Amino acid sequence: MKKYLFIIIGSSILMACGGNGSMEDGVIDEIVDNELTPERAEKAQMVFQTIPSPLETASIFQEAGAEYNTDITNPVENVSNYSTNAQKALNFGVYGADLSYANIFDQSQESMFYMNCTKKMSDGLGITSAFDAATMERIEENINNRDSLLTIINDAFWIADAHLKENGQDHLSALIIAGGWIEGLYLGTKSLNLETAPNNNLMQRIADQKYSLNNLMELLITYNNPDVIALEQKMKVLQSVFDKIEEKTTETTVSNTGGISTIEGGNTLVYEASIITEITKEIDKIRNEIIE
Amino acid sequence: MRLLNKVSFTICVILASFVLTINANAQCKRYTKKYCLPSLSPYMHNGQLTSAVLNPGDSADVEMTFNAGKEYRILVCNQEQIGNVQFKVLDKTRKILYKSDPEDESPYWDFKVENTQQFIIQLTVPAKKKDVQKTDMMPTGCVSLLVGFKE
Repeated sequence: MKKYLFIIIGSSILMACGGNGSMEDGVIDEIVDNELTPERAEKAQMVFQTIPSPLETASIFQEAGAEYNTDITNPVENVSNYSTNAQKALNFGVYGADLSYANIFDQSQESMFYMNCTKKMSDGLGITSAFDAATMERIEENINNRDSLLTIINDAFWIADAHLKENGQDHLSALIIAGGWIEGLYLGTKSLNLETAPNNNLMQRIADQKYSLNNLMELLITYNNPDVIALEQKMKVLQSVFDKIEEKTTETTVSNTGGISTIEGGNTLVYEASIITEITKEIDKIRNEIIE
Repeated sequence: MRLLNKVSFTICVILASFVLTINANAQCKRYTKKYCLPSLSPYMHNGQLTSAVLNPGDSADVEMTFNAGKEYRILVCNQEQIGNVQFKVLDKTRKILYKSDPEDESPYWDFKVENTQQFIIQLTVPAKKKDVQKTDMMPTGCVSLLVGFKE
């Protein structure tokens, strides 16, 4: 899914950069000097944060052992239930995530259903250019070619995002991102079977969403819009559960074996199964309120 | 009347800047799709279009999450009028894990992480050369940061 996904935290945040580095055996052993000097202070620096797309999230959960389940996505019949722009934007994100989920699992028929739902949400927001006739035709022609289809879907989401921003509706763009993130996590938690066959790999990937939730919250707090604020309040409860996941840090190292650099160490998130159960319940509540 | 003209002029300037910014960003996205995305192959684009119009001397930090078990490619691509944009990958303590070759016109780095990590990708546009006259127009150009992954 296209996620514009970057948040300008501030174009005048002054941070240090630089340092004298050397590279040996593919590993750079260097700490960037964080001291702010007058020369550095003159240089405004932009800081952006990104939120993973539902496409990547679906791919992570698939790799961790999740299986496709048609019963957990937002039913296509719900598509006519959304009347306000906020509902449409959130469910644009939700259906977009369902579309990515179906795509990653090579479910062509399901992809087509969710494509139509996504188009309806987009049209409902007045963004008819995102899924216009030519785009829909390209989609039908490429329905069995996953890579082409993903490119077309990305294009459509970029158009939608640009349209909203150009029309001063950035907050709706943020709600689309939030809807997509929420649905992505929901689909991951629904693939867990905590009581009978807990999948540690999948639980770890769910715990890892702590990072992207923090970035999403950074995005939401930048909007003074009642719909965004209402969502942010609900998400704060979820964030408080994620905060129970501990972060352990060791030194980051880079090695180069087998032709690709491997980064070891850094942060590790340590969770207990009970926290994942809490996350499952909380995301279930938030997501079901969005789609009802 | 003079005040009214001043206000109208200010509004026009603001509107013109706004329109120019939107246009520049739209052009930047088009540039990214046409010239940068193909270089990500054989990695699958993660769907995020992180691009901005920058000036010489500008720097930007982009925070990104990289998931355990996946192979990633970070690719930086920019319009040639602003020179070769360099990038560094930093961990949360701002330790440099990688920095690109300043001579590389379209630098990229392939890597994987053992644990899911958040890194900072630091983009730096080379400063304008001192021998360039002050009257010269400050060049601006599109800079794109793309990330692809392998399943």
